[in-house]
Amino acid sequence: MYKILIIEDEKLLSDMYEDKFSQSGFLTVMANSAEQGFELLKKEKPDLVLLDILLPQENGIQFLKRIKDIPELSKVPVIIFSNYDDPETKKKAFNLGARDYLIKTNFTPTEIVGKIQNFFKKLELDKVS
Amino acid sequence: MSTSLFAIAGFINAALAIILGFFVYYKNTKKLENILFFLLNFSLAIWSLFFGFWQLARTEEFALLLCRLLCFGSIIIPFITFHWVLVLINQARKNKLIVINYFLGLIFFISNFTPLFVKEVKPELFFPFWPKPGIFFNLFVFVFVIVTFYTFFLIIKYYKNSSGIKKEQIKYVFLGLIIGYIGAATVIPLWYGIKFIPIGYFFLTLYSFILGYAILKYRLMDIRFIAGRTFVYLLSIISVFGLVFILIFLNNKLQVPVSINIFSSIATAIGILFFQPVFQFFEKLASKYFYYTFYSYQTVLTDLGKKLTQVLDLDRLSSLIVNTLTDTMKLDRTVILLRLQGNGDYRIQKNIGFREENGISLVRDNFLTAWLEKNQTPLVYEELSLIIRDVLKKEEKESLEKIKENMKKIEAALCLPLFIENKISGMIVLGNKISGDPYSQQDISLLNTLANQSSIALQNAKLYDQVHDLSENLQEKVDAQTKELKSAYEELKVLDKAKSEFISLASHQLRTPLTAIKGYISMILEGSYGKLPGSASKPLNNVLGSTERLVRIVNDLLNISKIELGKMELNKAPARIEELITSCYEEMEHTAEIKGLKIVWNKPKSCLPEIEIDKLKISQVISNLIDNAIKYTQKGQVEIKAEKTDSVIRISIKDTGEGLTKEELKMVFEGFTRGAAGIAYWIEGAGLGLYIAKKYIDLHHGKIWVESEGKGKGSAFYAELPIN
Repeated sequence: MYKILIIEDEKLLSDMYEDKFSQSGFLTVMANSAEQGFELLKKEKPDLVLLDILLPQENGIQFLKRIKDIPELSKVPVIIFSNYDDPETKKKAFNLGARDYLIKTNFTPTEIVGKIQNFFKKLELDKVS
Repeated sequence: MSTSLFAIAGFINAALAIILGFFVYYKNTKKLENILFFLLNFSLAIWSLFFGFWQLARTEEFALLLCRLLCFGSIIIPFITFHWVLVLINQARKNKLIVINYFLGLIFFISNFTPLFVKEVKPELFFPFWPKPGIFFNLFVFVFVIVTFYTFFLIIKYYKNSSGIKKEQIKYVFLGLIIGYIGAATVIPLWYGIKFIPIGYFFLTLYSFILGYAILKYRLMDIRFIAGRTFVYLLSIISVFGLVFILIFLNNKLQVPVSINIFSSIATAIGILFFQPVFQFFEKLASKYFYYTFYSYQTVLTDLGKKLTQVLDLDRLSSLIVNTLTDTMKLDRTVILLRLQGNGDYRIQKNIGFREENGISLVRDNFLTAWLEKNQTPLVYEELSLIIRDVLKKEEKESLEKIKENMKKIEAALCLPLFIENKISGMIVLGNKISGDPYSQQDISLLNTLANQSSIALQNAKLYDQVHDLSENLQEKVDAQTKELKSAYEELKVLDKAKSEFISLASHQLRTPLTAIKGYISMILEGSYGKLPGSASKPLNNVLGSTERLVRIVNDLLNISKIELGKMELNKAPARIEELITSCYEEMEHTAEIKGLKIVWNKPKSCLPEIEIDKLKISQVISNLIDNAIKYTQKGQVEIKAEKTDSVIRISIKDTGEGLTKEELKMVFEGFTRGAAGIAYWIEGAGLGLYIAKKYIDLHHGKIWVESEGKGKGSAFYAELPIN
């Protein structure tokens, strides 16, 4: 069972995604700020981080910068999951090691879960080969 | 008293007369007054020459011959004098007496071949031989008296009526002639045995001096310049070679041990070296103390002419003209008046010496301008009396009188009109010469030429000034407006950026609630929150559809703001267009079928080359074009094609739908517009699709356009992408 850390400050959305991922068989850890996300990442050691960009105080990019130089944290794959669609930010995120940049509004929760499941499948396949 | 004195006087008279005669003749060989003056002096010279030789004669026969020869000269003198005076006072053409005059002269001339004029020679007083009169000599004396008195009568009458230069000239002509004639007349009594010593003959020399003076001072027959220059040359030569001779003389006296040849060569070289400075010294002296001007036509003309073409600044040019005229001619005042465009008023352009109000007073009424334009010649104050006399119209006479009075009052001597294509563009008004000399004909024609050159130069300068001012004004205006535009543009840019940023911000804000709505509804529909009653499924699906639409609109808005903020970037990768079209076609096929439309995808027979493109964006363009074609077509088909030309891949999507009007063809790729059909059929869309499509194709350096025959005739959209 995969453990996912979702860093999302919008209560409405984080509840929705928590519901969906739990129903789909994931372990969910929820954080409503980058700072909290950082602490939980260290403590909970999730298999994947779904990271929002626009967050109170520290934003998603700063979060990526903070974990970049800590090997045990930076090995955890991060997928950006945000409605903030800005080419520059996108570029920065990829440069800082993000695996993907998904726009929330373009996908239903089911589609997202599908994407994450595919991601893990691919990860498993890569490990085997 | 010795006869040799008379001989010497004769030779001197002959020499002076012939020199003066040739001088005048060579000044102008075509002018009648110069020719006549030469003939007069030539006869005088013959008379005087033989007079001199006669005094030296030793035999009676030789003396008689010489007396007859001298009479050939003296006979024609009064008749030529008469003609010459008539020419001088401008009456030669009207006077028929000239023919009779010369006829009488001819009779006496012929009679001199016989003893009927000079009968014989006899001793009188201390003269060994003196001629005795024949019958024709008596007649000659009679005619001589009549012709001479009539000549003097004409001179005096003309003198009274003339003014200025002519008056002065005539005064000296009168003086010279009267002395000459009185001198000559003292010879006659002895012919008749009256014991009167012909002392007056010595005064004959004065005749040459007086006329010489008149020539120099009053430019009689316009040889002043040459005569003056000759005088200065002579003085310079005498001074320099005098110096050389003194040096040679001193060398001889002091017995310097240098060869005489070497020394005289050195002295001559010194003389040659010194000639120019000495010449200039005398020229300056003459110019300073006698207000004598050594200008020659050509020098002043070429000099000023050259300078006139070099100056374009109006003020500098007018200063140059006024200063040159004032300095060269030694004038007391000069003014340039220029005519303003439009009302034809004059303004003072440059003035030396005139009082401001005086300078302009000449042109206060329009008469002078009109008069000068009519006559196309300069107006000389001294000629005004004659002009007024000859004018017939009463008003013209009065106006000219007024001008004459005014010119006298303001001390103006000459008005030089400046013409541009026979219209007066201004005038140069000259005062008097400081020397008090009047203007000669030479001066006036020189000034006239100068005026012609000046008017062209002044006109050019005026135009240059105007153009210069205009371009300066224009530059200022352009600068000001550019600045305004620039700041307006900057403001707009700021506003535009703010707009795009607002759209970006607003869209992002819209996305969060949209995500929630879309997410929850999809989950409700999927049964995540319990089983749904059947009746709720359809409306909830509608809500989901609307939400999807809203999401797309927001995405479009965000894309536009990205494009407009310059943030849109391409993620290029090699791709095959037909593959992109196929996947779009497959997505849309179902929608078309539902609508009952036939959709045809004509795949190219051979593979199209791979090209570097942003797949996502080009796919968006293709699906947008297909989507539009389906939306706007109610009946018929949509046909998709892709083909390759030399340098591009062209995608075309043709439909049998509503088509576009000419206006719509122009508007269709601009933002926030939709075809009229869109409104008519309640077709969803914000009109942003084609705008974004165009921007995407532009980013790929491609081309997108639409063709339509008109309303109801379908339309064809084309997109071209370059083959890299």
